[in-house]
Amino acid sequence: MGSPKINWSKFTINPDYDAAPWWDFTKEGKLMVRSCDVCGHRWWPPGAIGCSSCGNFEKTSWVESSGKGAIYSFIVVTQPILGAFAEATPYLSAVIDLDDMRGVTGLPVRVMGVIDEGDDQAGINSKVELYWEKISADGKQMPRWRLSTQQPANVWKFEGRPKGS
Amino acid sequence: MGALTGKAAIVGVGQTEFYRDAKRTTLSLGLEAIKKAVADAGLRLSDIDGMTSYQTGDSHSSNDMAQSLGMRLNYAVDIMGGGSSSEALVAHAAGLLAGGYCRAIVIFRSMRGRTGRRMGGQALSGPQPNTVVTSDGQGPMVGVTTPAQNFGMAAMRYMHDYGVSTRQLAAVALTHRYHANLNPKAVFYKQPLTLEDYYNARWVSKPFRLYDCCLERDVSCAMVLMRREDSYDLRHPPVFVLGGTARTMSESPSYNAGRLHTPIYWHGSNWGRNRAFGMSGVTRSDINVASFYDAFTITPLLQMEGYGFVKPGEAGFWYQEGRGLIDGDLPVNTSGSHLSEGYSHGIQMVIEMTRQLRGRADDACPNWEEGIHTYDRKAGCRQVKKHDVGFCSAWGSPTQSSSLVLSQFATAN
Ligand SMILES: [Zn+2]
Repeated sequence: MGSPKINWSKFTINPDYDAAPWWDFTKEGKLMVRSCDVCGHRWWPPGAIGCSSCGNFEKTSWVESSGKGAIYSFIVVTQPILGAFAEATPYLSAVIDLDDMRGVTGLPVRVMGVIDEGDDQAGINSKVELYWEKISADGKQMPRWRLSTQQPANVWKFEGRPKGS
Repeated sequence: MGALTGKAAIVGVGQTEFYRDAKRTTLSLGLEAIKKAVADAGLRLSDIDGMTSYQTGDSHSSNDMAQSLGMRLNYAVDIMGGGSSSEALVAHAAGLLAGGYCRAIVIFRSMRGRTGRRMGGQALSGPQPNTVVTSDGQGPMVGVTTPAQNFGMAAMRYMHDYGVSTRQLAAVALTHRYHANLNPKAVFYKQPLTLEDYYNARWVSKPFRLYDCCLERDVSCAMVLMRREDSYDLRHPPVFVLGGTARTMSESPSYNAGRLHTPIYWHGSNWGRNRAFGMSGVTRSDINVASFYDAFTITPLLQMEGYGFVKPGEAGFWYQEGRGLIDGDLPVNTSGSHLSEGYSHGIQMVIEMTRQLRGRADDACPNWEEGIHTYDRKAGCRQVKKHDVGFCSAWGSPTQSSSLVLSQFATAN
């Protein structure tokens, strides 16, 4: 279906002190996650400034992800709610496990993204990769995601109505 | 058991009708519900000296209500919150009554859930014109802002993990609809839902179709609580508060910032399950009737499993076998609740539980107000047969849950 057309002119980003550095990194095409300087835990989103493993929020750093991952869960939005996405429906939004980022318990760091492909092609476990789309005059970019060329065998697709029901 | 088990009782309940468009303010709706609840208790407005409510910046306050009803309150607090707040406020009320802050307290919720601020987020005239992100924008930047979308993420992963399909989601919709068909107050009174109707309905956002989602309405509901010793000689038998949990949270309020990465479909009940039953002094097998917050068809499944009524992954199949129907193993959501009665942010489910535990479910039986029922479902009786102990489970944000164990006896056993 091609990448969903999102009208970023209807989307204003006016970040607070906590999230501003993350948006600045997007201008350089860098997808950053937070890292705890005390215990080494890593997480996203950037608006959550404290470490849920040890409670430290005073000393954290940014680390860059390569932007490769796998779909942990997803929905397909069919009804336009946000103006910026009004002409993008239907679009698939996903929770994505990053391949190269792990928290202290060894589990992957999770981010969210719109996937270019629909649920006819994508599902849970699908491998995805990041690309950037410029969205504002000051150079901010939005992470966008598409299916990777190599796909695993265990992609789980949503069945609207299972056979026999 | 908890220190306050059996010390407070729900003595009166009241609600407006579920309007598609009430053409009334939340003040007017609230006043009606409060008056009805006080009258149902057999009390006068001047007997009430405490009031609490919950809202999301979309309603009138206790102060507004008291002024229009000529009440002078000794305690008035309004909290921010939607689902899971009514059970939490019952917990507050038990403490306030025991502590002597007030002697009779009203809890209310008044909302224009259909014509005012809709939880679904859509503007009245269509999509919201503009989105302003002031932080990281985690949800909005990927076009995910509504409860249906957020709970959809949890639903999809749950279905993957346990081999559950939309057929099990449909079973929840059909069960609650059957109960609404018996409930004269329900929006879908006498309007059955078939499996074909379910599958033919439009998508809201996959995996949810129209009948997977609650029925937004303009409505107000209220209840009155008093101390046990004050509750006996009123209009109806008292329904006692045994215990529960109040807005229990999971370890990660976000999809992703947590440390443990419990599955995204886990929520407060997975942490509150022992406290809920332990402080109430009952076990799951003591529960005769239950309700699980049904903002969506997925949410009752996750709560039933979270509180341990069935094993993980089993709840949908349990529903499909008809075990939650009014004459099944454990009747659930007997009013039709959010999916088929109307959406009130949970408080109507506590009201329904109160009516069931009194043995006075309002139905087609001519003498239901005296607790005389035929139990003939075809004739429109909707009173459950055994009604000693009831369990109300509620859900707010994707990670926040409350529960409430109620009983017609001040001690459970
Ligand atoms: Zn840390």
